[in-house]
Amino acid sequence: VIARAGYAALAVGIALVAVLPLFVSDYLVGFFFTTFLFVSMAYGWNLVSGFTAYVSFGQMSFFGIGAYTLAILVSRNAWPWPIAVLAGTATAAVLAVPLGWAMLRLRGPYFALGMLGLTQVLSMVASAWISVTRGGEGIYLPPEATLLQLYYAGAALVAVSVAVTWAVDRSAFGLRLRSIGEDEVAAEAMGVDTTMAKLASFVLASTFPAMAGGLYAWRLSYIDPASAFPAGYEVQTILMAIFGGAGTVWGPLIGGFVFSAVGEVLWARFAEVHLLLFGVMILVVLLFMPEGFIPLLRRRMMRRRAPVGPTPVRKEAA
Amino acid sequence: VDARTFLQLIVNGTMVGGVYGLMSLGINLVWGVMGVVNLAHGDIIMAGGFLAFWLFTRFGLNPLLALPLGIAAGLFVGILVQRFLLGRVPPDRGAVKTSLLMTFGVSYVIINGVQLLWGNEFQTVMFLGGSWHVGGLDFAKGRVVAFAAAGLISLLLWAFLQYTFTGRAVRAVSQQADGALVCGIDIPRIRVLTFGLGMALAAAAGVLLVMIFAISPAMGQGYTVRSFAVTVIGGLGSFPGALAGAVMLGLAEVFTGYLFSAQIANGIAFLLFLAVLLVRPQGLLGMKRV
Repeated sequence: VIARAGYAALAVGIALVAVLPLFVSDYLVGFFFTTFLFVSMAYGWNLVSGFTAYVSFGQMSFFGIGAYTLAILVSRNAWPWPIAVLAGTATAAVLAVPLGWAMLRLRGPYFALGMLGLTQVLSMVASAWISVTRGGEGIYLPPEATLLQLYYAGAALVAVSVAVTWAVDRSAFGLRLRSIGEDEVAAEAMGVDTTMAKLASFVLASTFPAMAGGLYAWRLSYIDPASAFPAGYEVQTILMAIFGGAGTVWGPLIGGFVFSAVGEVLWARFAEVHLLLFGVMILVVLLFMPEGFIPLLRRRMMRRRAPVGPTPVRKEAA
Repeated sequence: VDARTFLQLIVNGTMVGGVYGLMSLGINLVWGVMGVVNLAHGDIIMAGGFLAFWLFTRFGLNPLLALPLGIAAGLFVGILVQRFLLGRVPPDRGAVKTSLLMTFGVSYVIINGVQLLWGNEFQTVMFLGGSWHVGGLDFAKGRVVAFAAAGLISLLLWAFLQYTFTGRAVRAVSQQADGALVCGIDIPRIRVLTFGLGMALAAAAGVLLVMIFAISPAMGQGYTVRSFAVTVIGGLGSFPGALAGAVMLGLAEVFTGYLFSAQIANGIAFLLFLAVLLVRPQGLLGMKRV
């Protein structure tokens, strides 16, 4: 029954997303487009940091790489916009291989700081490498993609993100990632090729923000260091993922929609303090629902269905 | 680069390095004792700088007198964060992840808070202009004073950790928490103290930093990376290492800034950090393995 209800909900959801632009204003279409970008970035973060215990604070690096590659390509050759987005994504994935190889040798705080630094360095490169990126002047894009096209592209990106996460979650690969998150040494002892698994998840996860960055660049039809590495997008993305539930299939979707709506309201009414409020919300989520919404919901439902028997106990540290 | 310029750059880099050393001590201490890396460290540095800037422009207060106020403010914020946030994280396997995420959240609260209070512009405190000339070299007065103050505070911290009972308890917790517990050390209290101390050192470094450089709210995270880089280069838990790493970073930044551009100099901390981690993960003078 649950499964059938799930499929029905999914079908209704897809249909809603497909027909929505016919009924609402451009403002709302734009809002949903941005939401789609955030949702897919939250899925990207979830793949690398939700499944394994490697907390990345630098997913925006790939957002910027995707956006800049696209802008540079389009400013030199007249590529059709979807091809340019894909090219940006492919470039990010290719760059993610050596970057991941270097970064993933670091653990815990080292990895976290490494990724945090990576975004800063890339944004500096974007400002300093003027012959290619035109520095602070930025690059203008021709107004080629319409909002409607971008909206559907964003929706497709979300669909792909969900599908990929769903597939990873059910696969042996996902299990390997989870085992790394639980205990990397033990996973290695069990014969898991942890380096390969981590690198694969890192590269896979880099494609979501890269594609989001590309679509974002078309929406702005302009890119400069500040818009390619926007302050606050990282914190917003992470908040969405952990609110929904890191390491779950549906968490980033829920977290993404909830906090895009919250973010929109905050941006409209308290623009000066919206970063502060995002910071506070991360703290609140971590303090009061550290596992996120989906695991909380699941536990509630389990408890209701099976009132007797042991309640799930949080695992103690070894 | 002729010999005089070369020596001048070495002087400048060493002066900056002294302040970087102080910057890194807080993050080093907190990490050593608590196993937590404070991602808001650089933002406290930045906030300390802005506090000094505000006290100077508004009340004409000498930044050296702002130093105790900055230290008190940092201590207060640190104690609050540890008491109400980090102290509540259950000590299980996810603790490192949760504490990183928490301090990341705190980082944005501080950045935005400073923007609200003191705006989004670059600011600096020019309270000591000019320089002393010794042996044909220029010693900018502001830098010399900042360097000396940073050295003095570092020395005080070292003496505190070496000779006071509480300081020894802090070191005991960092070496062997279980052993320290058996000896009757109140570990949660030591942790609160350590985190407060770490933030106080960061704020002090910020007050001195604003005498040398112009800072803006968005630069905080860059200082987190710098402080961490110094700790990584020097090695965890090593005073001489921290000093050596800090001077190395100061020199590297000054030289790349002179030879190439200021933007490349800003990225050099990250490159050093990666290079050291990939080649010699325990740092140059460190004690623990990564």
